Amino acid sequence: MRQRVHWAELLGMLVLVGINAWVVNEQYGDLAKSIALVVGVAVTILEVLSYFEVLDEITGWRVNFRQSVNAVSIVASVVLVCLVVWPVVEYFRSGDVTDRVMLENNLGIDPGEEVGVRVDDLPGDGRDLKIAFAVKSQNPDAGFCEPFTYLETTDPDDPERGRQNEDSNFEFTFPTGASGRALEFAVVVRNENGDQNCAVNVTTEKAELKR
Amino acid sequence: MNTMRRRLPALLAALGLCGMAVTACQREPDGQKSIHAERVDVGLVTDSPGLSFSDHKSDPRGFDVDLAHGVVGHLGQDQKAVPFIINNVGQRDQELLDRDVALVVAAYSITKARNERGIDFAGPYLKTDQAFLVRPGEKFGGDQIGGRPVCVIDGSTADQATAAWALDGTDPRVRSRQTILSDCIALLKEGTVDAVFDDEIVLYGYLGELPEEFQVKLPGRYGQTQYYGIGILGGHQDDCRAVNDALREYLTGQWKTDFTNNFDEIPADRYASVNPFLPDEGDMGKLSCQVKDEPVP
Repeated sequence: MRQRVHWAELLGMLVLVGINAWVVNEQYGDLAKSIALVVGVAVTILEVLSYFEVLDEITGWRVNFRQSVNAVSIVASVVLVCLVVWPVVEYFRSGDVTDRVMLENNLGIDPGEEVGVRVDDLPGDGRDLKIAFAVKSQNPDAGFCEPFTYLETTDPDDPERGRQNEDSNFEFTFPTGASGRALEFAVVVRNENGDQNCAVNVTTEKAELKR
Repeated sequence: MNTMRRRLPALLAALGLCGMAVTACQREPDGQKSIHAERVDVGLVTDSPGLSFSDHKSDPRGFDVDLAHGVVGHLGQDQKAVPFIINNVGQRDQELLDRDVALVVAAYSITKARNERGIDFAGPYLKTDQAFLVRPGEKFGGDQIGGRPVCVIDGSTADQATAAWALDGTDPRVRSRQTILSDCIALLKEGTVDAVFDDEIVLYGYLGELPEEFQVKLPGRYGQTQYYGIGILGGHQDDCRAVNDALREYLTGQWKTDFTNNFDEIPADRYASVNPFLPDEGDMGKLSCQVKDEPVP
């Protein structure tokens, strides 16, 4: 009878651990972190059970009291370090904002034409936005446009060139202390061989916000 | 123990078979054509005067034929190009995929789509815009082009390029797709179509045969620049690079002479200072030897 009660306690704790894992995973979307926390919590629970000699009673193991206390301390320290270090790593990690980049008039673009780019409501505190575009020939059966196509921003003072598979990256730095962070600009499609009919589709390969 | 004794010969036989299989893999599979053979089978399409033409009574002649002999000659001292006549341009991919030829030299444009089908290219060895062939004195250009009937070769890059032409009457309209260009020329002669749309160099080749009957119009906004490469089966990048090396020697040597001899209808001022048909090293770096995996037969 006594054992049944203990098993019920254990089961209840495992359910709590599961709920904890689900909440952490939903909130952070990071499976590795969730697993680390869950394992940490589970081990802690088991150690606490052993401290009160419940585990001994259930399993018949003989657990040393001092070792148990040490183990609990170590696990608690690891969990604590994870909880403190993770937000710091998170803070300096690049944020993927690819889905925030909106392109207008980006399909079947002939050389000389512009693609409108708008980036709204960037989250977090990032300052440097790095956008990589991908260029694909609109009609791959009719010729080979990609190797000769490059992109330029419309800012005449600072045109940046991008070429697919090489350096199709554009970087923008927001001023320190800016209250809102949004961008609106255009990129011009160019063809280095002067082929005016090499129409391409331009898409966003990746956009990252760095701190 | 007895079981082990019975199994041992079978195991050894299996190992022997594996060894043979590995050895076989190191050789060219039976029937596959190679650029290392003494006689290198080169696919040609012989319906295009200037590039490659044959009346079926004599050997094919033209720029592609000269280039095939020149490049294979640079591959190895004892090697020789053997023409393999492909019926029409629509069959070039299949001849390579079927391993019937080692190379294809047949006004074969390098495209991403062909790369994706497992066709790789050495080169390019020639680049060309696309243009219209029209009857002499025909007003064809600017405002007169809207809705006019045009013929293209079915499945060619020129045909693919017409996909972008609008249907609101401001652009030419494809009224006929033919398997070979000479059928398009026949339609142009009889007045069924007002123009033939194809690569400029191909059209100049026809002009060489019938200079009084046609003229070439460069339309500017229609078509894409084409880069002709030497077709080779994908997944043979070392072979592809070897062909590139041979081609480099040809481009800096015999190319100019062969070009002038085969395309005497191109106005000389078209290539007075810089020849726009001659690709450069940068083109070769970007377009050649891109296909890493051999397509499944």
